[in-house]
Amino acid sequence: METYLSEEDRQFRSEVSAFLDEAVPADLTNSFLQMHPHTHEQSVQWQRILAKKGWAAPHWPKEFGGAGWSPIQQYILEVESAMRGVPRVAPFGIKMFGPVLIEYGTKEQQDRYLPKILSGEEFWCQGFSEPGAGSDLASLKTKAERTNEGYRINGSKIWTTMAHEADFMFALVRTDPTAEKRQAGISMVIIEMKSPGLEVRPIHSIDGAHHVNEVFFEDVDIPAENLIGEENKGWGIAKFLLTNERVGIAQVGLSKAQLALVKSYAARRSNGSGAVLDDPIFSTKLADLEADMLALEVTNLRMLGVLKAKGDTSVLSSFLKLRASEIRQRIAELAMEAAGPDAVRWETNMVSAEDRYGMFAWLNSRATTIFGGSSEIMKNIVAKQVIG
Amino acid sequence: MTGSIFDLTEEQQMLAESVSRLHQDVGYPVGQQEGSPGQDGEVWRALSELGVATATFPEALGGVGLSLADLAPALTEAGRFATREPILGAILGGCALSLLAEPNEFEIDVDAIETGDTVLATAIAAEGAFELSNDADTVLVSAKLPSTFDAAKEGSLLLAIPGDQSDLLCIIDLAAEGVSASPFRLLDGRSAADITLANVRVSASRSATLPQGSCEALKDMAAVILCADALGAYEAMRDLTRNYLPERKQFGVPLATHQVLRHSLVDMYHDAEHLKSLLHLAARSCGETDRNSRVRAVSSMKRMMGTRIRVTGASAVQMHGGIGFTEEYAVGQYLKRLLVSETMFGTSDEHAKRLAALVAEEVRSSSPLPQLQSAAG
Repeated sequence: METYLSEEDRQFRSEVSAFLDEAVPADLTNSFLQMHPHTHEQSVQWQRILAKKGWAAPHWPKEFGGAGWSPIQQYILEVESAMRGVPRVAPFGIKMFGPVLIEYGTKEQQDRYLPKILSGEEFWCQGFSEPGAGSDLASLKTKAERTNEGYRINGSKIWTTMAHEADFMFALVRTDPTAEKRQAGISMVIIEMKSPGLEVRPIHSIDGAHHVNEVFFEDVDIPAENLIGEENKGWGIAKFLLTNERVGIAQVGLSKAQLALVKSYAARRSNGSGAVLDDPIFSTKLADLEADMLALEVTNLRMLGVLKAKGDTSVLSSFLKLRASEIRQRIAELAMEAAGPDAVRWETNMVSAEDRYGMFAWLNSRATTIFGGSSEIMKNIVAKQVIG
Repeated sequence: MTGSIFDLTEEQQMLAESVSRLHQDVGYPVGQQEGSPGQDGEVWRALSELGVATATFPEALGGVGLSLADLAPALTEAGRFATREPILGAILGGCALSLLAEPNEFEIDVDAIETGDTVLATAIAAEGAFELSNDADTVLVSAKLPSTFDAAKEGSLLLAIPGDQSDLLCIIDLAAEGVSASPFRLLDGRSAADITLANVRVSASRSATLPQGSCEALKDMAAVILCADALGAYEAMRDLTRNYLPERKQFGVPLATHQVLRHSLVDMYHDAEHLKSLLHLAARSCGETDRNSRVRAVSSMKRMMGTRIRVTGASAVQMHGGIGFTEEYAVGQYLKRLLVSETMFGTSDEHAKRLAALVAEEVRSSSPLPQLQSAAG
């Protein structure tokens, strides 16, 4: 990345580094180096440190409490933070919903929600997918019917990450079932997770952890002021939200840090006849991954350049999402293979954290090529652009 | 739309367009048939007039002094037309001359190269020997140089040879005593020759020392030149496929309606972007002094040529069906070009090995998160 940073960017990076060297708590870094997954509490701890510095939302305009940074500056913070082993900050409030409120929210909504998203006092989850509406999101059925005070919601959402930790959900709901075009009958609303009639049921994923949930709504009432933007205009807002994710879509920082971690593990880990790192088959896979990772890094920088010039990034960002999610899986795969037969010693008290890391990450990363637009959907999007 | 380091400069754009137009005007791309352009040197003279032949020559020798990063877009255009003009020899030669501490003391007939009258080939000896003669006025050079790009029975050869203390650069007349050259066509129709040098006498003014490591650096630059061209060839295959799928009908519908083919096509767009990124980085790294960054970028690029690019390049033939398998259809010509670029100046496997060695060395010499180390130190 060095060769692509301007003098100004390098200066900025020194400032970021200087802050991080002071501010990152040792226990966060140590968790990462010892190959323990970060907890939600650690993520909140880190968000609060960033918030105090005014850097929790690098991409929000300054008047809303953001840092007002350029795409490349945001990227610098992402990489420098990841390379110090800090946890990821939950994206739902800061990355996804914050910009929506800033663009479409009323003054009251902005004042009510934005400060607590920033400070980490309130957490959000995303209510998009439904049992019958995955990749085909526009077929969603959860309905919101007008009442005197606002809307009454019935239906269910699925794969809702962090629903069990969140205070609020931003959700897509059907407000006009008769609309000729399915997309035209959808609105975006805020739903308080403590509402009567709302129930969260955990879904345990194949990595053995609890990240995602099913959320049921039975006559859940929300006030009219919880509508975002105009009624039946939610689809456009959802598209805005998705395009906003592009700066961090490749998660280059996280992948760089994870790859560095896995390489150092492979240098320590023996396969019985030497270090795994020196095994010719392993090292060939590693070289292939390094090549793809480097290509991803430069392609990501190219996209940041296009973003800066306000150009069209839809093709590049589809490629980035696609390749980045595969790379995450392959980094995990190398760690899993490096652990050899110990990778399947699954019970936590029967295996060291570092030998378990790869298997957990590999299983966990199955989701990366499914969520946020599956790889197949990404290819459909590009195909439509290039061949009609 | 300005401000990105990835945007082409006006100069890059103009050169690329001129190279493109010139190839188009004379009927490139061509098949294997006789009478193809380039055989009488006419196209090469026209390209030379544009400044291509001496584009990378140092300004001290009357060259244009462009870097590989400057030149890469023009090379990519040439690749789109599957050019057979002796571009690599000239461009790599300029790169070699640019490594000299005192280029103006090196005796080389730049005028003849600039006009296109003398074709320059450039080789990097894997192993070779050179020794000073007793009177120290001449150097005796011996080397075996298989598949030397753009070499023929006549013309000039710039040769870099690795040495124990320092590397050597010298220029040899291919018609000189002790030189034997067997010309042939490579898989993709480009010219090459097997050259053997047996105690060829080179006068001291036509040779100079290069810092150690120069041969390795030059080989990397050659890989960049080849891959810049290969990117163009690959994009041309992709575009042919893009145009073919909506046109060709089977079972009453265009091939473009089938998702499996649409996705294969998207893979080509995808890989083109990632190759372009690695090329951009590799070309820049050749102009910088840090060996490790250069090795990482160039070997990553070359490795990708042999993995993803080979696979999706071959898929262009697959997507065309039978017509893609014919000698006369261009997609196969481009595929052969990719294979040449993948194989020469370090095979894809050799580059994987070099990259893996670099990575292993780095892992063992730094903490897992280098940022932490620098913070501590």
